[in-house]
Amino acid sequence: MNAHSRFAVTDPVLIDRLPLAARFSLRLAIADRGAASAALDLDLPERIGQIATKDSRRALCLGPDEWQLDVAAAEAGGVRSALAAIYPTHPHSLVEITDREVTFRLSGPQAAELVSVASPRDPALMAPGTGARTIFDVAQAVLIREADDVFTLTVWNSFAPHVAALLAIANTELAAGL
Amino acid sequence: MSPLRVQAGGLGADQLQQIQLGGTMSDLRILGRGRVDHARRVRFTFDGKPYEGRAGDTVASALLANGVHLVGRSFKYHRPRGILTAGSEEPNAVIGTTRGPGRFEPNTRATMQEIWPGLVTESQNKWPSLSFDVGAINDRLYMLFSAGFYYKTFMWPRSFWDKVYEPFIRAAAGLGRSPTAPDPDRYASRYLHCDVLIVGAGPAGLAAALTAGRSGADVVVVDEQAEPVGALLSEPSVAIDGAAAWDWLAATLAELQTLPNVRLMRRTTAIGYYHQNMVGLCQKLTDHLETPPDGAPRERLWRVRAGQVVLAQGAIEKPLVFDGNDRPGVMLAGAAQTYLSRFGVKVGHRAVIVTSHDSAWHTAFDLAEAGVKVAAIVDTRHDISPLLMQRALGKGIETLTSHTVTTTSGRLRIASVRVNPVTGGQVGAGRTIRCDALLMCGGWTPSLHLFSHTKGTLDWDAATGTFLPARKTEECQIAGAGRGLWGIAAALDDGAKAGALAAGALARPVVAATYRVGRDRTGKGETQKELPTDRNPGKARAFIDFQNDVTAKDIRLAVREGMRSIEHVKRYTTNGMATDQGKMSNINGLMIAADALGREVPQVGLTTFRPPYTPTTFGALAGYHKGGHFEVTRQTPMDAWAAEHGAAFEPVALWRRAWYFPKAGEDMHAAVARECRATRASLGIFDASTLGKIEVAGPDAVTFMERMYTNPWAKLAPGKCRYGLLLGEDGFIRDDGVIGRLAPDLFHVTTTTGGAARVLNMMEDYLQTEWPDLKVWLTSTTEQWAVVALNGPNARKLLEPLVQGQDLSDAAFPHMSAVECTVAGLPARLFRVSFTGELGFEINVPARYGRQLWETLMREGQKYDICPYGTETMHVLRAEKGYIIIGQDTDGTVTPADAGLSWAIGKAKPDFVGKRSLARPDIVAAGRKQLVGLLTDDPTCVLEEGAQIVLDPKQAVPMKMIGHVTSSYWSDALGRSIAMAVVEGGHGMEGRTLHIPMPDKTHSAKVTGCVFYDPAGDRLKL
Repeated sequence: MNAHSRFAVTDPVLIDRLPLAARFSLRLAIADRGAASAALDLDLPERIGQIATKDSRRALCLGPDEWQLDVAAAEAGGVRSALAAIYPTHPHSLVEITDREVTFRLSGPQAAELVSVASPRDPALMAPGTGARTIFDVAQAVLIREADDVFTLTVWNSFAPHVAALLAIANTELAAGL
Repeated sequence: MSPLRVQAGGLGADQLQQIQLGGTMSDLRILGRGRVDHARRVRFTFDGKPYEGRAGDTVASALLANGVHLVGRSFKYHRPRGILTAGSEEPNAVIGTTRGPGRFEPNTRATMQEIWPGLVTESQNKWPSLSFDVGAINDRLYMLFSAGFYYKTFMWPRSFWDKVYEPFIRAAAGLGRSPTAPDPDRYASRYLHCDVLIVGAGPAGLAAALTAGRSGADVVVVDEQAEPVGALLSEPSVAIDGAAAWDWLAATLAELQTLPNVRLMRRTTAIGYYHQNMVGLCQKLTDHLETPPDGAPRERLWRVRAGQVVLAQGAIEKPLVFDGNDRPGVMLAGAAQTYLSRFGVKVGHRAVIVTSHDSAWHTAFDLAEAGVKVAAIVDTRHDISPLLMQRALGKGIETLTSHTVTTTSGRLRIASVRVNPVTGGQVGAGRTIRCDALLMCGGWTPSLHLFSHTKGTLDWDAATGTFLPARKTEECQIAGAGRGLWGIAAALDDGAKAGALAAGALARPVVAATYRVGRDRTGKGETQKELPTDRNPGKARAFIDFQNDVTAKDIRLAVREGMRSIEHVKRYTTNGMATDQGKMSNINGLMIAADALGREVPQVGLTTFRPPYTPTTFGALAGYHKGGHFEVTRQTPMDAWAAEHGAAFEPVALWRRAWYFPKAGEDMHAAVARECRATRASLGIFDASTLGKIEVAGPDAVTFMERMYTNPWAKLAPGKCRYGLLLGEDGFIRDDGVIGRLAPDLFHVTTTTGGAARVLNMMEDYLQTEWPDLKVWLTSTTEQWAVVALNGPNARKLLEPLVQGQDLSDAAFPHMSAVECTVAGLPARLFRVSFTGELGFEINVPARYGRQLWETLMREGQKYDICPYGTETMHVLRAEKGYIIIGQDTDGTVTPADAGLSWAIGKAKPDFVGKRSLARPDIVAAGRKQLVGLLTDDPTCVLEEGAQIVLDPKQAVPMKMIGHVTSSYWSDALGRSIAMAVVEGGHGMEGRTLHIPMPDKTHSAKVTGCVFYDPAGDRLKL
C-alpha cells in the first residue's frame, strides 16, 4: 500500500506507514538475558522502555521478561538459529510477529502533539530512544520516541484503519491551528 | 391593551416601559466603556428580530444594551424571566442558538455565548410568543403545583398513567427543543500533562500562575470566560502595584506570555476533577467565530494530569429570596456591575439595590457614577459601615437599612419594588419605589464544585454563613474567594501563596509575589433565609431555584411533609437539580430547610456536586467517536476481497465478518442455502482469520496446557491437533478451539473470535499468579496469521497440488493433523480440521499473504465450483453437526456435561482449571439444563432463537419454562429445520415432545441428539 494514500493531509505532521522488516517477540527469564544478548550480539536492555541498537538489530524492553526485536528481513533466519542454539540451556519463546502489526512513523515538530490526541502517556517523559507499550485511542500500541520530533506507533493490523483515520483527523485539526 | 397588541404595535413591553421611565434604549451603552470594541458593531437576531451589539458582547450584554431583559419563560410556571447573572451559573437566560444549517443548540447560556455577525438566537419555553404564553396558566394555578405535585397528583387512577399522565408529563418536560439534525461538527480530544493546573484566571488564579510560572514549572491556567481575570473585569477602579487594574492586567498577561512554560486557555471550563489530579476540561473553540477555520473542531475535551491543582474559581453571588424576585429586571448586583464595567452596559435607568452584603453598595456607587439613577439601597442589615453610608449620602442615594423587600410589580419587566422596615422582627408598613432594575445581593458562595468532586470535606463557617474547603484528598490548593476570602488584595496574595505552595510541592521553591492594592473593595455580609414579609408567606412566589421554579414555600412544605435530609428535600422539590446544578439555589434552600427543621445548617447537610461543572455537550464527551469512526471495526486481510465481491457483513466482537455472499436476486436464505449446498457437495472457502491464536511455547508448555484445558495433552503427539475446552474456576465453559501441537514444547492454540483477548488474559493471570515457576510464554498471534478454511469433499483435491513438504493423503495426514509446510509457495501452518463435518483444512499464512492465498485458492478452485461462504453458512453447517458456539449454545452456566462434552475431559488428570467445581453438588445434580437437539413436528418451522420451552402448553400462565432454544436454522442438507436447546434434564428426554409457545401459535418439537447430519462422521474421513 502506498504510504501516503490513506491520508488527505501530510501536514503538519508527516505520517508514513513503514514497510515490513522482521519483528519478533522474545520472552525469557531475566537470568537468561546475558546468554541471549551474547547469542544475538545485542545487549538486551534491562529496564522497561529502553532500547538497544546494533547495526540493523534493535531490542526494546517491553516487560520484565519481554523484548521486541526488530531486524532486517534478511537477518530473521540468523536470529532464529542463534537463539535456537541456546534454547536447551536457556529456554525462551521467540515468536515472529512481523505480520501482526502496522507501524506508523509520525515526523514533524508537532508529532508529540499528534500523539497526545489519543495517547495518555506524557511525551515529555519519553526521552528520544525509548519506547513503551500503551494505548492509542482504543488500540493497544507500542510507542517509540525515535527522536525529538519523530515517533513510531505500532498497532495490530485490524486496528490500523481506525488509528490511521484518527491520525488523519487529528492532523487536519492541527492544520486548522485551533 | 392586550399583550399581543403591544407586540404587534412594534414595541415590546420592555421598550414601552423604558420610554415611560424617561430613558431610551440607545443610552444604555456607555461609549468607550468596558472591554468591548465599540467600533465593531455586530448584528444578530433574537426571536427573529435583529439586534446590534459590539464585538466582545455576550448575547446577554447585547440584549441588555438594547433594553431587553425578558429572554425566556420558566420551566414549570412559564413565568417571564430575565437575565439574572453575567456568568456560567445563569439559570434563566438559556436560549436556543443556531450557528448555521444543522447547528442548533438548545439551552445555551446567553450570558456565555459571544455574539458574531449572523448568529441566530431564540427564547425557549414559550408559545405562541415570549410576551404572551399560554403555559403561563400554570402560574395562576401555582398553589396546585407545589412540591411533590407530581407524586401526589398522578398516583391514581392507575390506568391513567400510561395513556394520560405519562404522555402529558413527558410532553411538558424538558428544557428547550432537542436538535433533530445530525450534529455536523467535529469534536476533539487531547491529553495534557503539566506541573500545575490553575482553574480560574481571576486575581487569585493569575497571581498563582505568575508565581508558579516564575518557578519554571509547567503551568496551565484555564478560564471559562473569553477573557481572563474574573472580578478584575468588573472592578477596574482597583489599583495594583500603583497601576490601574486593567494596566496591571495587561502587564501580567504580557509577562505570562513571555513565559514559555505557561499556557493560558480561554473559554475552557474545568468540568470534572477526578482521581490522582486528573481534571477534565472542555474548551470551546469555534462557537464565538463567524467563520471557523476548515477542519477545526467545535470543542475539545482535555484530559489533564497535573502534579498540583490550584482551584481559584472564585465565588458565586447569591440571590435574595422574596416575592417576585424572578421578575425580568431583577438581577444579581454583581452581574449589573459586570455589565457596566466589562461591557459598558447600564442594565436600567432607575435601579434599586437590595442587599445583605457590602459588595452591592459599590455596585450602586458605580452605577450612580455612570448616570444610572439609584433610587435606594435597601439593606437587610442594621449596622452598615459609616463609610458606605457617607458615600451613598454623597451621591444622593437613599439608604434603607433594616429593611426587607416584600414584593415587586410589573408584567414583563419590573416596574416597582415594595420595601418595608423591619423592627424587632416585626415588618412595618410597606412603601413602593419605582424602578426598572432591582439588583440583589445575598452574599457570596465560594465555588466548591470541583473540590467536592475530589470528595474533599467541607466545614460550615458560621461567621460567614458559607461552607469552606477543609480536608483535601488530592494534591490541590484552594485560593481566593473560593475559600471565603474577600477583596482583590486578599485574592492576589492568597493566589500567589497557592502558586508558591504548588511549585514548592513539586520541588521548585519560589517566593510568592506580593501586591500593593489600592482602592480595594473589602466588605462583609450576612446570610439570609427568605426575607421577612408582612403578607402571607405561604403565597409568596419567592424563588430559590429559578430554572426549576422552586420557591421558599416548597422547601418548607417538603419539611412539613417529612423530608429531613437535604438530599430528600432536593429530590422532593427538585431544588438544585436544574442545569445550573444549584449554583444559585443550594445555600438558600439549605438555609430555609435548616430554619424549618430548627437545626443548624451542618446538621441538615449538603448535597453532592457532581461533574460536569457546567452543562457539557455530548459531542465533547464523544470526541472522535462518531460516524464511521464511532467504534473500531476490525477487518481481516481478506475483508477487502469480500467487500469487492458483494458480501453482506455482520459484526462479531469488534470485527466485521463476511456474513454471506448473495448473488444477484438472492436473499439471505437463498444465498446461505446455496453456500451450504456447494460446500457439502464439493468445496467451500471461508475466512477464519478472526479466530484467536495464541502461541504457547517453552519447556513447560505441555504442563501449562494440561492445567489450563480440560483435555489431556501429554500424549498428544507433535503434528496432531485436539479440540480443547477451557473452563472457569467455577467449572462452566469459557471457551473452546482446536489446538495443534507443532513441537514437543510448542502449541498453536486457537480460541473463539470474541474470546481471544480474554483467554490470553486468563492464561497470563494463571501463569503470573499461580504458576510463575513454569517456563512457558504466551504470545498473541491472532493477527500474525491469515486463515483460510477449505471444506468439502474436494478440499484435498484443490489443496494437494499446492502443498509442498507434506503428503496430504488420509493415511499420512489424517483428520486432526497439523504441520508447517508451504502452500501456494507461501510459508504456512496447515491444519486438517473441520467445523462443518466435511473434509476440511485450515491454512495459516503470514497476514500479508492472506489475500494472495485466498485469490489463488479461488482461481484454482474454479474446477471444483469453489464457493465462498460467510459466518451464517458456517453456523448452519456446524449446527447440523451439533458443534456448539460458545456464547450462543452456552451462556456461562453450562458445564461440559450439560453440553454433552464430558468426553473432552481428561479424567486421569490430577487437576485443571475448574476440575474441583465439576464435583460440586449443584453441578452433578439431576435436572440441570442440558443441551439437546430439537426437531419441530412441522419440518418447515424454524424456531426463534431464544424462544422459551414448556412441557405442557395447556398449563396456566405464567407457565413453567424449562429451557430455551439456543440455535435454530433451516438445514438444506436435511431438507428441514433443526434446532438446539438447553432444557432441564434434557439428556433424559430423547423422543419426548416439548412445546414452544410463540405469539402466533405454539410449536411442538421432539428432543433428539445434537448431531443431525452424518452422525457416524464418515465424511470427515475421506
